Amino acid sequence: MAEQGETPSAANRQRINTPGGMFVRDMPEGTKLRLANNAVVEIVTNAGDGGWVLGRYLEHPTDPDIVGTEDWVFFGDVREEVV
Amino acid sequence: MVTYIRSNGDHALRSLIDLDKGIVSREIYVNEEIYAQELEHIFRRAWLFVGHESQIPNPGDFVLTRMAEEEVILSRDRKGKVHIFLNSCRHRGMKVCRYDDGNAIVFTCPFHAWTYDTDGRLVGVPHLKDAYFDELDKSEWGLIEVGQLRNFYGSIWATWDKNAPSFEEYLGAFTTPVRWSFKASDGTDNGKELFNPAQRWRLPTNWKFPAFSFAGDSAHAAMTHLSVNAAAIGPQGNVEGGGRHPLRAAFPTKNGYMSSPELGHSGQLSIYLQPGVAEYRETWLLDPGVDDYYREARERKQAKFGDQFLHLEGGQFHIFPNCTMSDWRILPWHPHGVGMTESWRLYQVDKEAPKFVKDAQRHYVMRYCGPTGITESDDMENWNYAHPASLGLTAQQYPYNFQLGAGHNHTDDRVPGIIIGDKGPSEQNQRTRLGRWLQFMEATSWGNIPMPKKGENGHSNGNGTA
Repeated sequence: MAEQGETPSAANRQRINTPGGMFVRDMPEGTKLRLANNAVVEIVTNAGDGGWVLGRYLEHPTDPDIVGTEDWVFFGDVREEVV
Repeated sequence: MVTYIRSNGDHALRSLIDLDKGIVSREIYVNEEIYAQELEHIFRRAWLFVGHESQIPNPGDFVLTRMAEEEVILSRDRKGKVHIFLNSCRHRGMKVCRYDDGNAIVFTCPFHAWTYDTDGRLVGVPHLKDAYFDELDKSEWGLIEVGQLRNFYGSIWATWDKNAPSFEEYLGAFTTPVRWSFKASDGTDNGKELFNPAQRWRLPTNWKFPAFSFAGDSAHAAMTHLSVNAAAIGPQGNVEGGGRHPLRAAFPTKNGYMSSPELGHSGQLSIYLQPGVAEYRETWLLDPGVDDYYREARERKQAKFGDQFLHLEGGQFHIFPNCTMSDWRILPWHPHGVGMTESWRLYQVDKEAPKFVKDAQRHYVMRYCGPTGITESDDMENWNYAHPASLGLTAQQYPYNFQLGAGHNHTDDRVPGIIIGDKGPSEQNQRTRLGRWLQFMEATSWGNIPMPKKGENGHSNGNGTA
């Protein structure tokens, strides 16, 4: 986990001590994230509050109609960064 | 006595105010129950000054401000539309914004992370699918938005009441001075911006002491401001004996206490006895170059309005219930408990003025106004001591005297809808505000608050003159 005041690099972003979730606050636009439901989104806008990013769906395991749409993604629903 | 007021409603309230005799019970300034009724009957219904568009120039900009006791977010959404929201999450009430101003993509509640777009829509709820089972309708849980919002030449006003009359109907004849307050010095509409941030501080007094006194109580000035007048804080320094106001060239006007009893607004205003605009008089003698800017602006204003009678332009006035204004400062008096007032100072300056002009104006208003200024410190002494001295049971048996100039008013066809004190000083402006106060307090809804018929009270064109 990043120390206070340290910005985690892409390589050392780790899951934080919460029911799921990653440290998303400083992730740049374009970062790809795999969610708990196995969907993959690309960050379109990062609110910068550590809680929410606006993501565009690139993949969805059960609902292909969602692909291409945008929705706000809670950090607790992020499983991992897709590198 | 409180129970008596509650059970007897408007009759009991009316018994506390006799405006014909100029007698007003101290109780309306100190009674907790009356104060609670003010919040509901006045501040939930009236149009209130909230801010200025220059405070939020870009999409996503926001500034925290107030509507009476409640904190609101004045924001510009990502499409550029201006909104005013209660700063309180719909889930459990936490403030969704705790910065005085800034730029945001969303407002995220730090309690349970409900998050709202800058247009107020609830856009994110944790566990929406897995624990709310997708049964929460986000569209019903957006931020609480005001009932009506009006951007009036850059100034932002709002009311919680969807049934309130339009802002221009609410202002009546005072549409004109409000509009002038946001013109640039050359008379261009929406030509002002505000210095940021606002000055804010709390005064241990009831909100009506300052709000109903300002621009209605020149009788206090000679004694209260004797020392500051001698201190020469005006932009002209010690020239002509100093003083606190800029020097101005004489122009044939009839000046006086002018108020709209039907609407509750009032001020120290002017009727012009000839068309046109006064010559500019050099006054920024301590700040080289500033007079050049204002002189050139005055020449443009003269060219624009040389053939018009600019009645009600300039001056200092008060928009009921709690906003005192002029063309250089805005003074909202926010109630914060029966014995506490949060005072805000916002200062206008020409948005196109060069920086050195803005700096000179800012330095002047800082030495004049606010908690560190010299003039209003005098006023605060009076208000802050008058309130505790009126709290006692003995004190409350004796009413305040508002008789100065009572029964000595006239009208003038040049300013329809307005009554004018026959002589100054007069307390007519304060009586006007108290009269409107009573109408709001007695009414059960906007449908019961008296309003002049459309086309009367000087709001024939809806935008004020000039």
